[in-house]
Amino acid sequence: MSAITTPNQFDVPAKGNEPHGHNYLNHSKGILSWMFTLDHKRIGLMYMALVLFAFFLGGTFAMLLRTELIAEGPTLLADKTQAWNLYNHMFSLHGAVMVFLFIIPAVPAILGNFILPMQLGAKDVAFPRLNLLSLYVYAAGAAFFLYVLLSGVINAWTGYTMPGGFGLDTGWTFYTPYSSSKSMSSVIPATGGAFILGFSSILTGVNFIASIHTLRPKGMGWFDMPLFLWGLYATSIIQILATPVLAITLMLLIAERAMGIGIFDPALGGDPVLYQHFFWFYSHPAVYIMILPAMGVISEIISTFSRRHIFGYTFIAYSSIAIALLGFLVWGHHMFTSGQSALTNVAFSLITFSVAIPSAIKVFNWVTTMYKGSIRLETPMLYGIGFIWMFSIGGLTGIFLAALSVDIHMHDTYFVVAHFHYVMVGSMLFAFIGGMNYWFPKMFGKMYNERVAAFAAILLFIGFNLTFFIQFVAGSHGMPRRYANYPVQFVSHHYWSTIGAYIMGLSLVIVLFNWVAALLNGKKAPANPWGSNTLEWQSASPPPHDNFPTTPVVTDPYDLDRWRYVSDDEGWVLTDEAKAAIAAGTARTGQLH
Amino acid sequence: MLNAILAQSKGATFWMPEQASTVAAEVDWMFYAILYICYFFFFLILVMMLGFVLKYRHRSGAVDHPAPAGHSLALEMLWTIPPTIIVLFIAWRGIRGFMDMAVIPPNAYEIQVTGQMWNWSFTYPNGTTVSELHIPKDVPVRLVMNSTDVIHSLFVPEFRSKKDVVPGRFSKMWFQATEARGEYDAAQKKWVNGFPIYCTEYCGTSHSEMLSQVIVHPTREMFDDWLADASVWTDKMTPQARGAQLYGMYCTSCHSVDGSSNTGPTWKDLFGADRAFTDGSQSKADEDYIRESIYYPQKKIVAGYPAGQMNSFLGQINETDVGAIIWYMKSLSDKFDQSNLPTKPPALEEGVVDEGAPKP
Ligand code: HEC
Ligand SMILES: [Cu+2]
Ligand SMILES: [Cu+2]
Repeated sequence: MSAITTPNQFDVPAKGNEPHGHNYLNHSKGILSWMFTLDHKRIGLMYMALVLFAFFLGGTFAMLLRTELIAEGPTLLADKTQAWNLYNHMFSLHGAVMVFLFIIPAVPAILGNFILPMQLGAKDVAFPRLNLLSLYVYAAGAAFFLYVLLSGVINAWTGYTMPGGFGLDTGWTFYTPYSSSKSMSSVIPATGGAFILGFSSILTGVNFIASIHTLRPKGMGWFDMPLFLWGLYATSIIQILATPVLAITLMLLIAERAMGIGIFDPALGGDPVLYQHFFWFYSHPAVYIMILPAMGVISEIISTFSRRHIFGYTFIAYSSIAIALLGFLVWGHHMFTSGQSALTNVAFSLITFSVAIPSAIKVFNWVTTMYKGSIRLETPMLYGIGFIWMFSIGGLTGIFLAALSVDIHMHDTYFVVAHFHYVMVGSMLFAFIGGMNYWFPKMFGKMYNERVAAFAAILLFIGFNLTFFIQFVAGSHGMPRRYANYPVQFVSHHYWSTIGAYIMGLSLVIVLFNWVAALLNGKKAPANPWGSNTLEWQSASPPPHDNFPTTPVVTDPYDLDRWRYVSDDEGWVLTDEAKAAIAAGTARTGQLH
Repeated sequence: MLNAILAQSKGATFWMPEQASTVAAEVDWMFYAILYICYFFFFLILVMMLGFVLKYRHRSGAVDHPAPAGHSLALEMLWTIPPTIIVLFIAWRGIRGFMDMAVIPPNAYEIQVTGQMWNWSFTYPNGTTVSELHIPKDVPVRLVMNSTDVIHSLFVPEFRSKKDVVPGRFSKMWFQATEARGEYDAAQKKWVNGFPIYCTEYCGTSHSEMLSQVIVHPTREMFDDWLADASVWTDKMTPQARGAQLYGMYCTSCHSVDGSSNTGPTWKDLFGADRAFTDGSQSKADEDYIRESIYYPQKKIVAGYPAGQMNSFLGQINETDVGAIIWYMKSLSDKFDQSNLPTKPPALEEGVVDEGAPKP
């Protein structure tokens, strides 16, 4: 293979595209060309650096808190009070950093930013400047959390309390009146950070909605879009409708804590349960911000690696929208024991069950897509299968919690912890890492080591299930969550859960190591290593600065028969029929409906 | 048939703790019904998914199947309608079970509960307050609960009962125990082996230590005997012993008595010591100062400790009991001449009640 062989095998529009290996990474040089770039791909990569760093922090907190729980009694520190405080700070920081800095932005801001314009065959998002702004707003919000962390570390070492407090010990939920009147931690910096991060999230949402409305290329109707775009679209709706409510809530909390304005603290004439309504009005939909784009990733992966057209396209697309809308009506299920009226409980329980249906629709359509396929178990597909496992368990255990009588027992126990980790870590993280592996060749033009990646995926799967399955059993026996210590009855549950967490930590290190190794000396990736038919694969790997030299021809995104496999070096290329159809102008197959 | 499968033994099962209240059987029935439904769907998905992987796995060299678009309204209905029906059934039965927990029988015996960082106290109709919940078996009990600081939540796993305890409002829950539990350990001078009570709403540093237990007396008569006995302490213990009891009830989560560190200052050698405050002033820890610290804790903040952590106990601990706490602090202090401590319960001091002290 000569040095100037184009990695893009799609010879009709791509010829002459990057004869000198020109791409978005080497398009311009110098730190400023990154800082002020308007290129969605570079913004996606910068998001990646920041979000992965946040993930590393959140993961470190998780390791520390699991270590505190590996044995009964104080573990990390000899003094009881100090050990409990350390644990409380760890679980709060873990939750807040993971939710606000990792899970919410991960798929939309990294994968979405990079892939969405390309799947639209566009040069960029609708508002590139807004996109760059969202990155900086994110960085500003993250800086607040770094301040929180720093204030905690400084206080632990020197006893000095920075303005605002030290660390964070309220849980990521900031429940009042503990957060507004009792906690001595940096509640205002932390909620201020979450407030700012909300705007980053809103800006991304606005941008994606505008892009999908205005940038779809000729021939791509709403129901010709890849399902990843449907997932992002549904997510964006939630981001722009729900996030402002969180912003207002946090502002009120700050007003109460800083100025003593009585809103939530009964000592000041406020109502603490009101805070919970406000908070969950955002935070329940937020769990769909976390999972809907992940579901989009899975739709792409399952179809591609089964080499089957996605089954039940319209149902999957509509179910995303249904989940997004129903998600706004179920927040009260977090408050079944809070003292809200029995009638309210009944209503929220009923609506909550309705979310089960679109979720079931998705799972069955994914599984049916595999029927009669030619399934390739490459790493993204391992994550895809892992996702279905995780999401099935996470979703089905949600039924226990939606059932009123059972939830009264399970509420605020480890059963809930296990349930939402299966959805938010098991499912979302698997989709994210699976998606990263899937699009990695496109982003960087390099292939990672497949064996190492597959090994890490399997190890992560084992570690995850060991960590969290046992927590269902502990929870149903009554183990309360957010406990720095526990009765002897739960010793072995916690021990094994911690071992599982270490295995997870190890496998994530391997995942990262494998990516770095691929960046340094990975094999050159072909334009289309997996034979997928969405538009991003019709650009080079890595793509040129403006993605496509000529607008690519839109076809059914899941018409995989258009591609045939040549070799690992060349990847998948268009079949002669597909090329002829493009030449003849009859390429659009319209098989979708 | 279904009921026979789902009715669980009353003892602990793999998934659930022992059943000890009237609502527990229904919760477990529901839990296991959902569990079997989940097993069914999970294995269905798994068998299909792994079956397809095995059957349709691509072998190198093999030609791929063509991949036409597929959808089938019939199939979509198949996995929409039956799950909807199942879910509606679960919802209905869950609501029914919940209503049994929510509707409090009118004849229930009322106990007031106070949640506070980080302990529980239970007040009986005659005004007696204790730190563990004693109830009679087979009698519906209503808890009227309030918090003096942040939100807590009272949870008894064996009763399958839980309710948040919110400051500024009274929340109510009820249960009826079906199993007697717990006995008095004379050697340790305390009740043991009750059903555990957990706080399940995060409430700060010692949230995980906000524990107590439910002692279920086998009969109403035995419960009444216990209550009568618990209501009077003056004939059974010295004031400093009463003080130690109150300490165990309200203060142990923040104050140590052996000099070790905690949220608040230790009480060891506190009485009679010189205290320095955050505003720079000083004072001796005498009776007045301690009483003030209990009733108006925000007036003077000990240097090196945060303000706003300790709540006022005004209205919760009466003057006699404050006196007892002060005696207890004196007994912990090397600055107080220990030979001056009372040696008898106050009621016996003047010989009002004859010796042969009843059990504590
Ligand atoms: C939530 C934690 C908490 C609880 C519960 C608590 N305290 Fe305190 N207490 C503190 C803190 C913190 C301080 C130090 C700051 C201050 O002076 O207010 C303190 C200070 C005191 C002092 C002054 C000590 C000194 O060194 O001068 C006394 C006396 C006291 N508490 C008595 C009690 C009694 C009696 C109870 C139980 C009825 C109790 N406290 C329960 C947190 C608590
Ligand atoms: Cu929710
Ligand atoms: Cu608590």
